[in-house]
Amino acid sequence: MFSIEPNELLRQVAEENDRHAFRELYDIMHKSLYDFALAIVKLREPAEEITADVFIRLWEKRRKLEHGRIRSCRLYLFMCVKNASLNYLRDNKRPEQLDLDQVSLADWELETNPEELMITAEMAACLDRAIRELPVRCGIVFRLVKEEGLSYKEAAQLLDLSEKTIENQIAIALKKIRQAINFKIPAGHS
Amino acid sequence: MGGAFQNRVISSMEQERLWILLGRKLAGVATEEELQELELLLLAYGEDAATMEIIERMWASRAGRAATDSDSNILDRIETATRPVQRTRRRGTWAFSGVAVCVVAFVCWGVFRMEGEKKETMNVIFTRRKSHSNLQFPDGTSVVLNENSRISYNADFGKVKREIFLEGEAYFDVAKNPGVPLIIHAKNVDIKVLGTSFNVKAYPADKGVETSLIKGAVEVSSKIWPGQKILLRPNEKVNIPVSRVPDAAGVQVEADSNAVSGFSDEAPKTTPVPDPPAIVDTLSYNRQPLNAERTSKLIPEIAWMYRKLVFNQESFESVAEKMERWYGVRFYFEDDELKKEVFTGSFSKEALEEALKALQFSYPFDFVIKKSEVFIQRKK
Repeated sequence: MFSIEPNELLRQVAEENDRHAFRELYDIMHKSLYDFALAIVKLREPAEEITADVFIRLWEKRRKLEHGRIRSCRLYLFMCVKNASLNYLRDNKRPEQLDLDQVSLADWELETNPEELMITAEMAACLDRAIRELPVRCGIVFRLVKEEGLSYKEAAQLLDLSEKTIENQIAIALKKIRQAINFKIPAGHS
Repeated sequence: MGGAFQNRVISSMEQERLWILLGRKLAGVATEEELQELELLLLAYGEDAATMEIIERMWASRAGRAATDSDSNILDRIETATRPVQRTRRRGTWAFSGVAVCVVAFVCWGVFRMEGEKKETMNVIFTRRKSHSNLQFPDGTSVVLNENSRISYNADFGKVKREIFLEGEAYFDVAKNPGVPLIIHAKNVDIKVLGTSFNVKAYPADKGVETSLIKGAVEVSSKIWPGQKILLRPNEKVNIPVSRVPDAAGVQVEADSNAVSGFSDEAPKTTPVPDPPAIVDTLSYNRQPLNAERTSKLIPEIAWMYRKLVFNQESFESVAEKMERWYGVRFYFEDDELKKEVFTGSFSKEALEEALKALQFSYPFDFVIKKSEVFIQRKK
């Protein structure tokens, strides 16, 4: 549900020519987009370039962004980054397909916060390890759906997978996470 | 319903199904039927409530990520490339420093000093009728402020504390920062936030403070029932009465607000209650699920962000209340029975008369509009 914000900001950029909204959109989205580009191209500098280019092009094209044509701003930006990343791979004579098993999630270091989850630091560490150790395909689906709030349909479109696969990968991730924390829960806790 | 399922050993196929369903629920793509199916499976899986709760909270919290150094480079590039040609802009406008909040049109931004020894500086942002505002705090928290609303926050927001005072309605998407908890004060209700997205409605005319949780976890408490805390789950809302005397005062406030115009900037009038009212000693509250309305697929509680007015199986009285705010009018009912009729639907750009005519389709009634007053009568 938190995808509301980028959509509203994109509307303000397109219809009201609002630079502040553009800046906000950048603040909200750039880190995730950079991470995604980096996971595909695996080099920091190109990933930065790609992310910056996507935003610059968004600003240049703002008047052409018809209201309502882009239904999900998040998905749109991720798609732009994906295409730009694949173009980069092509220009550098590397396979230009999104091969999920070749994606690198090394820089998507995400940390659970024990206080917020009302769990012990030990359990949070278990959780983090479980998430880190997810298979790449599973990990990337989990991150895009959980952290970026993409729907199954959107994630499927972005990763060229079926919705069923997304659904299964999320179930696998949840199961693994559950295994990691299950035995850590003191009896009687509810 | 669940009794028969209790303590039953869950089959492995059902287990697989449970994780699929939980995933759909967390990702916000589950249907009503799937949610019910999940409930049943979870009942059978009763001993695991604690794990489920941790997983739900884990999902709701957004993981922390450190900003990279490269950010400023990208920003410089974008700043150069998108700078307007005619206007000369000072370099560095992009790099907001300290507590900077971006405010869109129609929003006034003011700073005043609180009285008192410390003279804490508060920033105030308010919206007028028919205008919304998107606010982005430096800590990453974002707030969408509905019309006729006002928030204030400490000028050093994010450093030692994060406190927001709300009058009116706002949708919060709070960045997690465990060292600095965020507390929202609305009337006498405090909402302690554990990293999440939710809506708070607390207009002066409202009898309670309504908190609707979309994602994550919040802890709601009221100053008049100290020690009692309500932990909300995603897709739940709770309405905490502002007064300890729900019935007497409720009627009183309502009768009073009927006399004034629909949307007023004045402070709510409080009429002294004549007889000593019954005081409720324990906080009784009503947990309700958030249900998206079928055609618009919007959750009524947060539809305002889409500039839509949505109601799902709501009484005419509650619909009228929403329409009063939306159209800036005042509703009068011929009799109380009419108020109980139930409507479902959504409006966005319809004029008042069109909207009322649309309502007549699902239940026939007569109406008369006189300036900013709407009289609802039984069909003659």
